[in-house]
Amino acid sequence: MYLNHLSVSGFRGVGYPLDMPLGHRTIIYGPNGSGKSSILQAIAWAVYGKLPLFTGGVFTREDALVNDFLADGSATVSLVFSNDIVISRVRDKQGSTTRGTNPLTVSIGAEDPQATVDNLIGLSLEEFYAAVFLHQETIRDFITTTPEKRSAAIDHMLGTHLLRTLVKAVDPAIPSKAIVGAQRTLEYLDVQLSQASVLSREVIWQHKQEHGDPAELPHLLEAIRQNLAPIAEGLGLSPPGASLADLEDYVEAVRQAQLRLSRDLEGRAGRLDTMRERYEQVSKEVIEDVSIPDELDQSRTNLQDGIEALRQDEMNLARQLDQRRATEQEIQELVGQVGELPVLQDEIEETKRNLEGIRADTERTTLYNQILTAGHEYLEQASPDHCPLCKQQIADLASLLTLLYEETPQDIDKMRREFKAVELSLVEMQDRATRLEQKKQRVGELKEVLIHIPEDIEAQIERGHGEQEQLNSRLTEVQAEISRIEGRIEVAADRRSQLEGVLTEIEKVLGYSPGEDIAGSLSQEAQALREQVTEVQAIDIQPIAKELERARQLRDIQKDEHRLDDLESEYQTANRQRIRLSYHIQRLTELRNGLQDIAETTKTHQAAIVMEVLNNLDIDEYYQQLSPHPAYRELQIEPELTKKGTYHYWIKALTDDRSHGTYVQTRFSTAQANCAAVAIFLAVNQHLSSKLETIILDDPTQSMDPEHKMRLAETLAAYPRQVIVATENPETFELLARALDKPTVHELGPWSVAGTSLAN
Amino acid sequence: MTLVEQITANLVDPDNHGPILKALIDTLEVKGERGIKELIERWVEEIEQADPPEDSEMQE
Repeated sequence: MYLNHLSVSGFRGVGYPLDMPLGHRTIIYGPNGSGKSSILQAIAWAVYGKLPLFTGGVFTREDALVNDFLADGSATVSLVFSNDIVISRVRDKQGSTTRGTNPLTVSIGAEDPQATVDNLIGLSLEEFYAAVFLHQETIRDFITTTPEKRSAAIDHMLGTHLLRTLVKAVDPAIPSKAIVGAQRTLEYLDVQLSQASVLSREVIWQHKQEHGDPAELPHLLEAIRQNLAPIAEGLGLSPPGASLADLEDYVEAVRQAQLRLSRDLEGRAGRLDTMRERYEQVSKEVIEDVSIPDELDQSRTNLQDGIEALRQDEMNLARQLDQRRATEQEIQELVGQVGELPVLQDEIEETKRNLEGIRADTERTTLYNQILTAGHEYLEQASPDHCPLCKQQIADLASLLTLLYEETPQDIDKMRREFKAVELSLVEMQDRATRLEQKKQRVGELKEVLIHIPEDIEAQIERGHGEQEQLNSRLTEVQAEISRIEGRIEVAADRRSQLEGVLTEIEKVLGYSPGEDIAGSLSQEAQALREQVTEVQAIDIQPIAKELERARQLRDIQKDEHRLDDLESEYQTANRQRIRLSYHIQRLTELRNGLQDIAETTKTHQAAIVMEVLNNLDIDEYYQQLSPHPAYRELQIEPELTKKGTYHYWIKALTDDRSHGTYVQTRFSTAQANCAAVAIFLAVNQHLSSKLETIILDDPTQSMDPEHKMRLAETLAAYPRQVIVATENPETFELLARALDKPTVHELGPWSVAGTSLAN
Repeated sequence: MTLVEQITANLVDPDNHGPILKALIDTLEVKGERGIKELIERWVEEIEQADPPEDSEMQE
């Protein structure tokens, strides 16, 4: 069965009606957006009434189906098959986005037109889109999608997708979970019912024979309470309650109180013993009062005074020693200076004589000068012509005056200055001599002082040191003795303090002053406490505990009687519930087994179909025709069973000798992978059990080079089924037009508001 | 032979499990995968609500 004619109007990109005869080989050629895909989708919509989305799901709403630019009208598609059956589908435009209806009519008339068409085609929408209609998205599913999606697409091709979904969806765990819940409830009921079987009237009667009648229980409890009362009083507890639980708690409380009191009394007795031992020990260690002897104290004072006196003496001697050394040094210095005095006195005498000489010379010179002056005055007044004797005398006097003049120093002032200088020098020397005399006198005084300073001061100091050392040594001994005594005084005070502490503690524990015999009082008190311990421990509550145990038995018998009454009344209900649950478990188990059987069988069936179909496919033949990979020249689909029980399909390429293999999606280029996908599509379609012997290819040569396009055109030319192919590629179009035998060509014009139009 | 018939023929207990299979496939075709889960849950609920036949109670 082929498609002979397609009429489309108002569908998606198609506006005004198009009438398109479809030949054995049909090419639809036009630019992008011209409406090629709308025309091809119209075929699918006419058959199934919905369009698949690329991302899953289907297009059914008006805005996805009816042409947007028509003011009113409808989307109408009619298909004429080669057996003259005509189908038409209409979607009236109502201006809404609701799902709406797409009524289908079939020329042969049918109650259920869709069922008639489904039967006519023999494929589901998904199978149609996987195995008849090859779209770029289908190719992409082979190449880039997840193994799950790829496998689902191949299952659609192989017709096993329904089985894949069934295996995945049939879950025996749902009834299994319900079975587990019912079994738990059943087990609980079985326990309840088994208790009823254990509790029987006969067993209860035997218990009564052994322990008594539960009716006695109130009297027994009262008797226990009466017996406990004096014990409680003795232990300082409040009176017991009346119920069994109260009495059980009370007996336990009595035991605890008994233990507690015994421990307490024993502890107190022990503490008294310890205290007595401590008292005895401390009192033994107390020592008599000790004090420092007066003579020792006096001796220390005397020694300290003696040492102090020696220190004072030493200081005085040291001062004297310093004075002596300073005086001696001064004398030594003065004696050195006074040694110059005799020489100085000789110089003074010499200078005095010198001064007398100068004075005499000066006086004589003065006299000579007076004589010369008088002589010259006489010569000037005398007249030598008066007398020759006089004249001679006068000449002699003149010669004598000349001689005198020559002999007389001329500079009397110099002589006077010299005299003055010598005189000053003399005065200085005399002053100096006077100071030296004074120093000489000072030396005498100092020597007088030295006479009164002892010469053996250093020896005296040395002796003082020796005496000081002796006294210090003695003082150290005295101090050590005093320290020893002071230590004993401290120890005595400490022990007295300890004893006082112990006595205070004893008085506090006893509550009274123990008197003279402290150790005896403590022993007596400890003994009294131990006697109390013995009394407390002697309280025997075992008989009461036994009575209490009997009361418990009676109470249990009473409970069993009530429980048995209840169980007997509930038994019927529980048994009915048990039967009902058993019935549910049986039916749920049947359902679970059925689902397991179906899942397993379906899985096996799917595997068998898959293997059979794969074995019959000519994938490799088409792959060879469509220019295979240079190395991997064989192509196959390899099924792999997953843990979930479904198959994943891997598209595998092998070398000729099958020594190497690779997965197409990991190693092939896009064009090579496209070729592989087209080969699988063609192989599957050829063996499809549909009555419609047609393939529809929407732009199949994307990413292909001219070689691949040419091989595809040649393969399609030889394909045994009807081929409807759309392309926008001029090269592809030319190759197809040349390769296909008498193709029906529909060339589309450019897009317009009116929609797709035919150019030819 | 339809798909249901083919699988039924291979079931361990075709008489009892065949109808279950048919119901599952019918549901799958109409309501898809989710419909199957809902159907099984509904069967479980129906079983849990069901009372045993009188004779089974007598047997107990």
